[in-house]
Amino acid sequence: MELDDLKRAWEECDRELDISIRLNRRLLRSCILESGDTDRKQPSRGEIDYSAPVIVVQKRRRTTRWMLRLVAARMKRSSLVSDFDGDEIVGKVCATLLRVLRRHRVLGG
Amino acid sequence: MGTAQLEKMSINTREDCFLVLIEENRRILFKVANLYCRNRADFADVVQEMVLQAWRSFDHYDPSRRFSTWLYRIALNVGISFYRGETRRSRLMIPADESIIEIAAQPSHAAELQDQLRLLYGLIDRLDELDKALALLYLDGNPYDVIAEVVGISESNVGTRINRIKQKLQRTWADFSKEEPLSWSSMT
Repeated sequence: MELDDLKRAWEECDRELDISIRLNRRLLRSCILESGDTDRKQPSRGEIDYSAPVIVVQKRRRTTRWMLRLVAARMKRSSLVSDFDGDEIVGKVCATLLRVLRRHRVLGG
Repeated sequence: MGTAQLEKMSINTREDCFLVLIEENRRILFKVANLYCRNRADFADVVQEMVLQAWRSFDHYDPSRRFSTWLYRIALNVGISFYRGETRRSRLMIPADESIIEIAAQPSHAAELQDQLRLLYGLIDRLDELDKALALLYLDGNPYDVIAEVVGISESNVGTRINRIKQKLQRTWADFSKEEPLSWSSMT
């Protein structure tokens, strides 16, 4: 067996998929409407642009993940997040940290 | 599909334009979600997240470029992040028994074809997240320059990595063949 044999099977399946899968347009439309309009600006510094190349986004995510873990650990120790959605607070703190760091860099020249 | 073609179809709203493009490229969402999801519920969530991320970034899409390349990036990024458990669930709720992409009819593959495909998914499942993405892009018949654009590595690097993936898959295949006559059940 060669990979190319399987590639042929894959291509055949692709043609079948065209017929067998369909979009639930009603659901899709309601999801879009519920999420609001598209951002008419570039993603801000703390956000991840999913349309960037895979390697770039995944590296970025790893960095953010590392920062989030650090902040989450600190907050957990100080019991600040017990009554709140931890993810949400950590996200906000992380964005604030990034803003402060950026300002610091700008001021520092 | 380019801007001119969309205009010909008298598509007035951005939503309609987006819907047409997603409809045309629904196979990408289906295949990427299948590759990184373990169960049906996850599948629906991941497809929803892909669509939402695509919609949120739609303003930055350059219509002179291929929509499929752009969508591959978003779908793979969401799929990999989800697979690594790094994606927060969206706050939008969809009914448990519904999904944005539905199977309208059972594919009429011959038994042999189905077996080959299951086998291929089983083999790909043994690769790491990035290699899975490369394998999918290769099997979908994308040229190396497109794969390079989606993943963010050079064309020569794509070639090298795909050769390694081929070797890895063939080694896995050989290992299984030695153990017992290969079947789907032995891969899962």
